[in-house]
Amino acid sequence: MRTVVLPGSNLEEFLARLAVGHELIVPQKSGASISFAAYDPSSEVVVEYQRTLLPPKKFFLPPEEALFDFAPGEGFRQKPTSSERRILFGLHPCDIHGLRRLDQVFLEGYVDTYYQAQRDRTLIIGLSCLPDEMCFCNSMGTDLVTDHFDLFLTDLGDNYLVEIGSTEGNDLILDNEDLFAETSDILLRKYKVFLATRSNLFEQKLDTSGLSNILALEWDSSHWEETAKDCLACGRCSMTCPTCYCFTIFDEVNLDGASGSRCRRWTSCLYKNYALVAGGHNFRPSRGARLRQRIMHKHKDSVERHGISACVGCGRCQAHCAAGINFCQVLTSLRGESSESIVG
Amino acid sequence: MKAKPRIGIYGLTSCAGDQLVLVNCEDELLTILEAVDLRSFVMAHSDNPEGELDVAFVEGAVTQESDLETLKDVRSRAQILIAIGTCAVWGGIPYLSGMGTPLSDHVQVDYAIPGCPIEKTQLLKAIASLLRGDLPLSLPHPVCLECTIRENNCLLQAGEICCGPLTAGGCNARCPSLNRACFGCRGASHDPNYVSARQILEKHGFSVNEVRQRLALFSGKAYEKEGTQVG
Repeated sequence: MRTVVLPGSNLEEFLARLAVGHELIVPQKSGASISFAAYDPSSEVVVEYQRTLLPPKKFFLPPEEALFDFAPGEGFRQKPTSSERRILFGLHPCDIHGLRRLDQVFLEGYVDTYYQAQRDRTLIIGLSCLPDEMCFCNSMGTDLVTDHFDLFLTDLGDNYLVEIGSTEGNDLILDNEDLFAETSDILLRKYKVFLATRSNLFEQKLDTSGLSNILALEWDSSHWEETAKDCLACGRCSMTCPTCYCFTIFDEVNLDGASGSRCRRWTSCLYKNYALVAGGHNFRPSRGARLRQRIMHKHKDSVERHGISACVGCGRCQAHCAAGINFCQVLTSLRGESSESIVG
Repeated sequence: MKAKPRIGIYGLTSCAGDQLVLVNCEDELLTILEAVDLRSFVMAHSDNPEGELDVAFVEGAVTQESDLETLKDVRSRAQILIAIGTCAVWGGIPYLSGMGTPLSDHVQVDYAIPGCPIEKTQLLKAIASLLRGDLPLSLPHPVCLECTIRENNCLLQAGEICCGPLTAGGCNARCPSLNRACFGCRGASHDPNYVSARQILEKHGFSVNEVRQRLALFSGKAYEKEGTQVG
């Protein structure tokens, strides 16, 4: 992979130039949290941050979107999507891995054309980060990216080492050549030191060996209902998860009682009506069953279907849980119980 | 063309704030009045013929014999009865006096639009669905869904008595988005975990009384059922 160097002092200018001809999205301060939002020249781009509240999925699977309009006599009209080129700047490796997982769901097999349109028009510029006490991407193997980005910037002090992941990414460099320099041996050494230093900073760890097998065995564990006693079923873990993609579909009718729009909106398997079906039967009536579903889907079902866990270790679910549920701890407890029963 | 649906709008014990929301739909009122046959609506006109109705909207709690008589009479004449406002849905503030009861304690309620007051958007969507011949969609999510989508910091996590996780969504997280904790004015969500909420708030240093006063303010009935089981 070709690498170049972007002096830190040139980043501001690089972003300002990218904003010409592209819709540019950058991490910014929003109240007490960090949020991906549209860039304008007065934007204060935050290059050192832990995690945005909502992951970048909101740009590909919007929280609520109209899919098509309908009207008697006119039939269906699909909502047009913008084709303007868009750049998402500042995605951490976990969030890029999150998009990879969403791609598997929305682009492989049955293609979701709404997602595809948003994905096709978007370039990804990744950015390195250091973990806090909730991060466990190195446990999930999502602390590095080798593809699914156009450029990736690693902060090495005064300079960014820039990995080029696509021809379109390469074009961004060629169009702004005056801002970049060639890689030096010193920088490559610094990059290796950065990786080694970073890997020592993780406090949160998750042993993923055999995890999906263990979860399958622990279907009936009392842990689920026990943990769910704390669960507010508020759905915040689902909304903030980079790979939770469930949505509900409904019609919004106009006051003529005939025309309207078919819409979809994010939902969560933690909500009581999620598994409610016609006739009034609910497949997951208890909070414990619903919490189990969320964890099983991430760490077991996704492994079975896609060969890879849907958890990218970003830590959002546990960082944003008002009840203080730590998903790593829940999984570790389940493992502990199973090893005891095997020995016993 | 089928006949316009006959609508009646009634108030029991309440502040009439929910009926006012309909009157305040100024941009949509003419469209609505063209689509429906508005029979009884004491707040809006003086000639109020009482008879068979396709849809009745009823605001307020039942606190006295006359409320109950009105409610039973409306129910007997209406195909669909919709409770509007937290007083009608949960008993609301009158419930705190020990005298106010929700409509569903006395008659069958076909759909509930909670809120203090109700949200104009939810009312209009409900009317549109009814005109199409559907019961309106229920909104089963708590306030936290819309609050998180708006990327608000969690006020409960920050140590405030925020009722968001216990409260029916649909207000687009009006108060938390202004950095004010949710008061729970829309009544209980489909799945309020009062026990956990109380434990979280007690950890934040609030007394049992403070917590009860806030959590039970609008949804006393749901809180009594679910929230008092543990300690």
